[in-house]
Amino acid sequence: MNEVELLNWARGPGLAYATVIMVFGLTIRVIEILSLGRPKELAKVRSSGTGDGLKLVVKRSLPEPRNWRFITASYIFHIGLLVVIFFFIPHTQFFRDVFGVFWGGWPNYIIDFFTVLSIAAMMYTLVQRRIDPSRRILTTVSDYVAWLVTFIPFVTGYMAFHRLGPDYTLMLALHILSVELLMIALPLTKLTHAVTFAISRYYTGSSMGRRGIKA
Amino acid sequence: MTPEENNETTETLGQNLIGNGVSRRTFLKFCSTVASAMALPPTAATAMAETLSKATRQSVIWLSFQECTGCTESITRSHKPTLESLIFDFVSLDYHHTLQAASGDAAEHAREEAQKAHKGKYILIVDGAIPVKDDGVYSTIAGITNLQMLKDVAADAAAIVSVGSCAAFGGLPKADPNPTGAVAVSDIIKDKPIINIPGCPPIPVVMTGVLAHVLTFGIPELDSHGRPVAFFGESIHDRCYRRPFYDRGLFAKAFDDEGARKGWCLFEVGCKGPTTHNACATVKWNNGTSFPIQSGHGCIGCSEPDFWDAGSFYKALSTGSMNPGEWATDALLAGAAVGVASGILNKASKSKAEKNHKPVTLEDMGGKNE
Amino acid sequence: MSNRVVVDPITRIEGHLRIEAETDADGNIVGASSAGTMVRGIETILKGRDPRDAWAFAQRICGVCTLVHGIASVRSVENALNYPIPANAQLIRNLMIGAQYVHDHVMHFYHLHALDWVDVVSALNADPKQTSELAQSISKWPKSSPGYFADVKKKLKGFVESGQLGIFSNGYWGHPAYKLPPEANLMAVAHYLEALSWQRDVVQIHTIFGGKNPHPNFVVGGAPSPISIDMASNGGSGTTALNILSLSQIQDIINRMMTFVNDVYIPDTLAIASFYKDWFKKGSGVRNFMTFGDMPEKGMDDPSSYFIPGGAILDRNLNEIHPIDLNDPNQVQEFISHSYYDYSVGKDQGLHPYDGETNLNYSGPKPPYDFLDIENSYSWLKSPRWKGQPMEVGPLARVLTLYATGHEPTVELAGAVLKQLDVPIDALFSTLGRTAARTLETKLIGDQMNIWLNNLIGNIKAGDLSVHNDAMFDPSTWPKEARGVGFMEAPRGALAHWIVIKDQKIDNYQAVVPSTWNAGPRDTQGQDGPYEAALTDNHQLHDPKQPVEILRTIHSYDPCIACAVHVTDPEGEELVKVKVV
Repeated sequence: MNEVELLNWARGPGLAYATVIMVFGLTIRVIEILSLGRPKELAKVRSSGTGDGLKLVVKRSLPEPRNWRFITASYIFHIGLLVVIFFFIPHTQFFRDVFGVFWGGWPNYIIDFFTVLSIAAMMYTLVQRRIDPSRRILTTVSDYVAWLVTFIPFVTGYMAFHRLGPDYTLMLALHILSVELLMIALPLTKLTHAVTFAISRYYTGSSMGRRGIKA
Repeated sequence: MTPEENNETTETLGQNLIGNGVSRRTFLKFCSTVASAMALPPTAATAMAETLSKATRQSVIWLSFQECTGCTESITRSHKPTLESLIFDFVSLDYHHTLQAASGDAAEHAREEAQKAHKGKYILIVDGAIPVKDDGVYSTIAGITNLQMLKDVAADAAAIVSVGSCAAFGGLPKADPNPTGAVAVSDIIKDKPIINIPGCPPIPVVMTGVLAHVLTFGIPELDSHGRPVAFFGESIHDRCYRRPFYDRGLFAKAFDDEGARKGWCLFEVGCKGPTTHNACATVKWNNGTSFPIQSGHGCIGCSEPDFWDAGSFYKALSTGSMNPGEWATDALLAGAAVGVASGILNKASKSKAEKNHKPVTLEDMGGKNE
Repeated sequence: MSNRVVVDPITRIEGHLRIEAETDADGNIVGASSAGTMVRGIETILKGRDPRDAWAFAQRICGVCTLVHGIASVRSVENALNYPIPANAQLIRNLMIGAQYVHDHVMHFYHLHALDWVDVVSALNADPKQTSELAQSISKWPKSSPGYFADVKKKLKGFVESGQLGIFSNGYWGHPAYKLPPEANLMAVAHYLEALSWQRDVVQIHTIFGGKNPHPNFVVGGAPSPISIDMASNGGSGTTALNILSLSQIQDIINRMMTFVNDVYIPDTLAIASFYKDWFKKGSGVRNFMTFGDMPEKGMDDPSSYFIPGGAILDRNLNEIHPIDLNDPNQVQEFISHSYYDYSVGKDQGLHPYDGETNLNYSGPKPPYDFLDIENSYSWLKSPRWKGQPMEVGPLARVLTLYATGHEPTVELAGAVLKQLDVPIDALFSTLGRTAARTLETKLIGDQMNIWLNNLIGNIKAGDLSVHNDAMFDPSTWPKEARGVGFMEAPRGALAHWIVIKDQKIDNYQAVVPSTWNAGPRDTQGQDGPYEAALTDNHQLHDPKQPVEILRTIHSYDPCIACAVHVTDPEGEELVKVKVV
């Protein structure tokens, strides 16, 4: 298989398979979580918990003062990830094709800036995980996998855009394949938080609220 | 006249040129044009002139298979060198359906004579794909399948030049579902040097330029697809005059919108320039008149293998070629169905467990453990 | 004794054509079969694809008439969707079609057809001074000095004496059918070379509008090349190919192009024809002619604005033009009784292209073979018929239609030419009549290009810059199902593509091309196709080993496929294949 066939596969069947696995997996995950319901409150219910749930969704998305370096780095790459995915013009074309909606893209230099920043931030978090003993103990293999499949699309995308590496066609194919890997990993690793973060935070917030505990 | 006699009376190209009234100056000019087109050092022109003027005109056999004659038409458009100067001064085009005077048996004999007289020395040019399904019945010439004719003529060729994307990569006939089992020359012939000059059709001067190089210096440097690096080394996008607009994020969103009229980048209307390797953006077409992007249409990627099956020409390169939206909808429905089903199962097993479960009482805990 | 003469390959055409002709003892052709020997299955490949992409696939049916299938294809989609295109796009398409005609016809005459009439080797005996006198007596074309022809002769002499004849190898040089004096031959050889250089200029019209030639680009809904006149803002004039400069360049090209047509092509046609008047009495073919019409001033839905009207002429009756409805299932039908295809409704039924099928089923002899099985299937071409009749399409059909509808420039020009050659109007129904009609329409259409260009420039001056209608370009705006037919007059004749669109994809696609009308095999009723009929009209082969007579008639149609001619035995005796030793 040469680079052209690889690209054609990545843009065609590869993308279709990855989409199916991602959407199928995430849908099951979400529905399963929703259908679990909540355990019977044995204690007295103090409030409906709705407000507490919503509050936690917001609150847990806000920075906390502890270990600000690590948190800033996390923020940077999460924001960078969103910007690059949704505002790089070629990506907006992809979403326009899939959803029929076009929200306008940002100039390439802004995307480039966020990409470099995100790559740096992600590397910082990795180093932190290695040198901080408590983090190192808490980190599982699955976490490293999650980090890696998020990191590679940044790098391959950057290389493809700047014509680094052996050949643009090959780099573009590798970039799309790496994104497909990320899509597949989404429902299978803790990257599922990309769609379930709100549900889980709401869940925690509301059940704490019902019990009258401050979360 | 038999082929052998033919050979004896053959003049060298140098004599021939003088006989034809081509001055040494004109000849050198031709060589330097070719040298500059191929990005060769200036000294190459002189070396080329030396080599060419010593040679007998190189015998060339051109076989046309599953083709549209677009490649032949294209080579007639070559300005420097022109087709006329190529076929009357530098090569002897001994078999070429569209141009040769003879038809039928007389034409086939011309081919056989050239094969005999220049055994091991002639250059074989092929345009068109070769159908191999059902023993190749989908294309015959003089009752012989293309497959057979290619094997016969290739056997004694010095080198093969596959012009056009069909001969080089299978091209249009090979596009899905490939009804006739079409393949490229290189899929059949494995023991000869093959140069691919793809494009649908190839740029005229790219064909004549590569041929002139083959005549003088032999096979040029090729990339992994067998294409001469001098012409196919860079992508259209990298040399496109609209590249600055891409970098600045200025795109035509539709044909004939404001961006299109201002000559902005055509990426969003489907240009495949970034993944297409050819010289259109530098050499341009028809004496440098224009090239597809300059004339407002995105590059369709015609010099790349399998470009016919790489998705719509009007969808951006960054979109999926198999409509991922449709797949996503199906997967969503399927996922929802499975999710709901498993949820119901979970619930059912939970309530069953509850039913079977006997509540724990104080008595149980305290027990009558006297 | 009878012979089957096989001519395969027929060269100097587009594609792969084989002709088998059957001769009696005196060498008269009494039966002929025309066979296309190559198939790619493009219609099958098109199924399931984006209809907006179809033009690029369809265009690759042919690289000689490189734009016609592109135009027919985008028109089929536009017709299916009721998709109007801007006036400027219509004019741009007309200009591209016009350039295609002039380019194609001149190249056909000099590079594909001339060597049937011009003996290259005889030109070596020409006197350059007399050649110059001949040239100056028929035209004011400046390249006509004795010195010029002496140079051409010297070049030709050097070429022939080198012993490497290249493309002229094994030509039928010295055959008694060649009638031109050496001076006329030398003049023609000079113009052969000049035309090669001339055509490179003409195609630049396609390059400006379509980015390249061969295979310029098109787009459903208009033309892809925006008009840039904006000097000040970002980009500005010159950033796209179509601007004030290139429009004046197009005007210059049209002028140069027509000078060559008027001063070289037309005089050469008349001069050569005057030596071959017997060929105005041979090769008449079928008696029916058909055009679909093309080059609208207003739009494809307004046939009254077509420069070339559409219609059918039956049995040479020029007093009645029958209207054609391409959507009527009983008018245009394709038969496959003698073709390597299967229909789900059986081998003897005709199918309208909307319901057309392309199921390949080769049933011919196993290659390598000597003869085709002409009693059964023998061609990759189907047999299209109009109301069951075989029809000739092409320049002759168009000139007859224009003539019959009283188009004044045509009546005048045809009258003048017939008068100069001193032949009656009936002479047009012949091999040379076809060739002369091609020359006539080159002038008619070439002259019309000035009007289209002026209209385009007029629109731009009036502020209309629109070349593309984007309203329906997005497939999500389309109906769930649609079907339509895109037709045009290609240089080789009436052409139509039928498309069925379902869920934004191609559900069926059928192209019925001019050379299928002309070169198709016999139909279910055993009626000859036009090539086959023409070859049996008054053709005596002087030497079956050098069948130049067959080439003359076949080339007069300007074939766009590779076929082969066989001469078959009427008594069914053992066939003798003619071998050239």
